[in-house]
Amino acid sequence: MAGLDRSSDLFPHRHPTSGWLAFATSCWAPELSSRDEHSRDAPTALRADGEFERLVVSHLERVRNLAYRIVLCEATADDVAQEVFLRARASAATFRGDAALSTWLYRVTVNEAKSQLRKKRRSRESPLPAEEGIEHRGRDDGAGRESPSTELLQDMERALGQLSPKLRTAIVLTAIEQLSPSEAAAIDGCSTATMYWRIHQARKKLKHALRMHFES
Amino acid sequence: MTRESDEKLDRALAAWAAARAINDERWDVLAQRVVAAQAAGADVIALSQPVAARPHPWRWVAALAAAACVCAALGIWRFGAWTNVERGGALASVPDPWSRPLEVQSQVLQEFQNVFDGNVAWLAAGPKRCDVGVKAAAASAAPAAEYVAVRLKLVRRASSDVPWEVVQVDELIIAQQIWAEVPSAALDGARLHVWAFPVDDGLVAVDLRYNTPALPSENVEVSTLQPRGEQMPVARFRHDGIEYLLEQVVEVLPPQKLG
Repeated sequence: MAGLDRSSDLFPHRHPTSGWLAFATSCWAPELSSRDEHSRDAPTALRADGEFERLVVSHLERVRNLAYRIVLCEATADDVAQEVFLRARASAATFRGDAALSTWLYRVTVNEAKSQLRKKRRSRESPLPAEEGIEHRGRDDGAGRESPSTELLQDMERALGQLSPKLRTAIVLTAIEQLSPSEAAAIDGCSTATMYWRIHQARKKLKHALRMHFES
Repeated sequence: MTRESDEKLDRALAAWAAARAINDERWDVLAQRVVAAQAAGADVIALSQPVAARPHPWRWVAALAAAACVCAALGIWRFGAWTNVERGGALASVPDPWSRPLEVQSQVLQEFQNVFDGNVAWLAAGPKRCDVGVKAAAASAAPAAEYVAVRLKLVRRASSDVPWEVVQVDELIIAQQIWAEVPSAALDGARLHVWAFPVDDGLVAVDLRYNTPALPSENVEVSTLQPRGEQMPVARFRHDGIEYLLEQVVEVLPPQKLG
């Protein structure tokens, strides 16, 4: 699509400097903003021409990657991402200005991903299979770091698939998305202590499942 | 050792996440799809819950009835089997002091560490005997720096009108992240399987499997996350008409100086 280019200036990020949009932006908490310079986009402006596309360009990669890490299925992750953006547009008017947009999107993504997993369980489908054929791709290919074996990556995906969605979400939000346990707890709707417990349990189970790789 | 394994796990998670990140081709397709759905779907969003698809009212009635049945079943089952922590429930007693001050326990541990070259996995000291577990050779290269003291007290009472009676008290020290099988120093034949790990914010995670000849047919398995130094009920159950309560206290000992 010619209109959507995440690397071009077709959708330059616009920081409001005056008016209601600037006021709303100034009210948002700075949390997570250091990780996402686009987190101060105004969701209430999504109905304006071009704002939705700008939101997609800014956040699609993060939303879709987070969705995949929870649902572990490419097609379902795509569905989750689409639903997240449609929900974002539909509920922009109800967005509370006391949280950063990225936090809000994280929360919507986590909820939608879990909802998709519940639907799949209800429809008695088999557990989401680990995707086969892992290969390094995407923008961050881990350059400069020691490259783990393909076998480890496949075993990691399998081990993540054996975690409950709650434990998987906890380890994804903290170890991969680099959120603090309290931030992850706020997104997942649980207490910080519960989040610590889930992280601990997830780590324990993953280490046990991957002990063959870590013991060597 | 834990930190090292955590770092390895984090590196593997980061590598997996990078390998599984959306690629440019898929991003393009998905972005088009999302924008197209939005363009075509201003009305679709509003109609995402069409009238015909809404659950029929009788389904709500059935759901409420099912929920009521589940609640009733849980209420009946509650006293027939082991239950996990009833948080907020009344404690059997005020927190008890350790049989030996933690400083003394730490000194005892230090002495055993010197004897076993820092390979002590757990230490269970009772009034008349002291048992020591030593790590397997494979794990002895990196002795754990942190140890957790765990106190377990089993009490019982025939009814709520009478005071609690102590059945058994066990105190042990265990290296973090070691799944240890520890014989009870308080009661012959009793065995404790314990795993402990201090997390942030002064909390300690404990996995416990508790078997005692006092209750041969019962088997407790609980996982808890509790603040240091606080006495918490971890299991409450009824057996032959007697109410039992298992309470747990955890404390992190200062790092050991080896050698």
